[in-house]
Amino acid sequence: MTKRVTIDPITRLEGHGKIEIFLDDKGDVAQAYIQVPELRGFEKFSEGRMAEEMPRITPKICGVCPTAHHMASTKAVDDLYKVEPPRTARLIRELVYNAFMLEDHALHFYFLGGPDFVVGLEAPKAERNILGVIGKVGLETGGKVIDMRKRVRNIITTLGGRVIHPVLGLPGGVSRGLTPENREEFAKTAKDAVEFARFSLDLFGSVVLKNKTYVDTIVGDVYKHRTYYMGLVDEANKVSFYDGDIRVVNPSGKEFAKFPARDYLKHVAEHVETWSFVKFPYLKAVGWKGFVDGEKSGIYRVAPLARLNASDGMATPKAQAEHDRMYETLGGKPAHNTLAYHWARLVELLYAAERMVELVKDPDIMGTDIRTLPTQKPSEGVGVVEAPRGTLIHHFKSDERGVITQANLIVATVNNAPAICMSVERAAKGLIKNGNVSDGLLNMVEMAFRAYDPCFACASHALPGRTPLVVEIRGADGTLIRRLSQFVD
Amino acid sequence: MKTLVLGVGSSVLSDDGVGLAVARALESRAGGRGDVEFATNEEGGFTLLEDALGFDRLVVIDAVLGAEPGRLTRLALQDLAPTVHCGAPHGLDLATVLEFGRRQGLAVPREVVVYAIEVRDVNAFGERLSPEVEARLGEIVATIEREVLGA
Repeated sequence: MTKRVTIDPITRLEGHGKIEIFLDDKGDVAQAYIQVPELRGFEKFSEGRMAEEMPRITPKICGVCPTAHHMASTKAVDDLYKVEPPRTARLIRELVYNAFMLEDHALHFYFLGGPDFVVGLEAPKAERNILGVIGKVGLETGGKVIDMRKRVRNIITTLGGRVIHPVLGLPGGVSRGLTPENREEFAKTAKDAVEFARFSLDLFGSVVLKNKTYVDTIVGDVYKHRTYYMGLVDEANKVSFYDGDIRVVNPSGKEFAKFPARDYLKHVAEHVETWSFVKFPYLKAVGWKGFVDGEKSGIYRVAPLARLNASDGMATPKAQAEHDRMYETLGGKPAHNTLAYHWARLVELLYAAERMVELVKDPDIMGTDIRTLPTQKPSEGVGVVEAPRGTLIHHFKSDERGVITQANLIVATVNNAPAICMSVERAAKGLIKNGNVSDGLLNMVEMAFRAYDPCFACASHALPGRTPLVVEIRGADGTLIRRLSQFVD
Repeated sequence: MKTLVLGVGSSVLSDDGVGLAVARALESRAGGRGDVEFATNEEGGFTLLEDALGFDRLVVIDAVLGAEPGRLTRLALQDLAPTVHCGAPHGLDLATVLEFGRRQGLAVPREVVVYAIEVRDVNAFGERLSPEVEARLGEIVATIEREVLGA
């Protein structure tokens, strides 16, 4: 006999997600899970299309991560044709990609995650949004965010056209190079982006780290899970967004596996629960042990904190210093504190900015050889990038003309789904006892969610006027016992 | 008065793209007028603010999940305030981004009209509208054209 608590949808979350919390006979939390609405029919939709069309189609799947999909598809098509882009093309792609990561991470901090910390854990719901953040930190900061975003997006659109219809990535290279004027402008943007990232970290330091309540919440047990961690790393095992091998570390931080993206399915399997459509990925070599953490459970995490945990550090000096400072405060590496995802995101923001500076400075970025023409017959290709929300893989098969016969995407948030369930359950356990649901539940559950910056595929809509967040507690026979919501109908 | 007619949605998720189709149809009928511009937006969130800057009036056309496919509802911005979903990156709703822009002193439209077109499904891939929605497209376009473009 179980009772069911449903939270649907989560406010300020990307796309549309739903949480359900099952209670046991005593009215305590038995299990929590998230429901990710599945986009249906991608495989069939892709069949029969030319492979090189994929980098232009996949960005339209979701307005949140268009550039991540564009780049993963472009790399999958490189691999399909077994063609290596020239160094110049690689640098240009990486520049665009870091610009995207910077833009997306900044938006998350100021608009989505920020409201929890900057405005205050106890602040009324109505103030916990960007308007509350700006009210607290000032219009000048709002102006900085707008300006930075505009200039960084200009790098993406100058080189790739419209974000939603990018024409940058081609099999074996890119469609255009940089002019000296572009380079001069981008160099200034990148330099200012470093300042912007520093400013954001300082803001986090003064508003969050100097507040004991916040720090206690971050390091407390409520949101702590000892899991495996996954992320892309370069040759020196440093965090890399655009390319590298996938590295997995165990909960003690020791390397557990390191493999190229095409071996992903050898390392990761999917568990299916009878009560959910969601597939829960886990490490095959460890096995599925249920929604539990620890070394014996195959659950792993992805995205900012996981990427830092899975690496030996940052490839740029300022970000490395911030990386060290973060782990010092959190008591060592790996850190298992879910709320530290916000902090790790800012360390990555600084890395993206510093990396942009390096890329623009590299003399090879001005090269004229921007494409290697494919000469081999295509068959199968896998492309990987680190999306803001974690490891993203595109996998295509084609006939010898390059016509897609099979297509599959392994999206970032799905990798985090088992861990998100655990975090929600942990938060709910502290606040639901004997069937009594504490009013703080919604906030605590939402905070657990938001740290992961999950994306449940864009494009879900709710009719205006519906309450954005509802918890329903139902008896075993389905009768509504109690209903909580953040807004009055 | 300068108006922006903005179709919102995804062009690869069938009925989710109905707003885009309606905006394009309106453009083909009323394009070329100096006081109205037409655009589509497949990203949502913050980009809605960026698109809207500099216009006096914003007309958003989007799909919403509902019981009667093709039914058109005209809404004001206040009607949207408590919702957070518009396929929005980072869950930023239209009302919040516009209010943010206003507080930042940007040239945000003074008047906002939202047309919501009910659809049953926004999670299935496809580049065509469902027959039920397609069948009412002409009526939807005519209504919006009459109400906001004065045709």
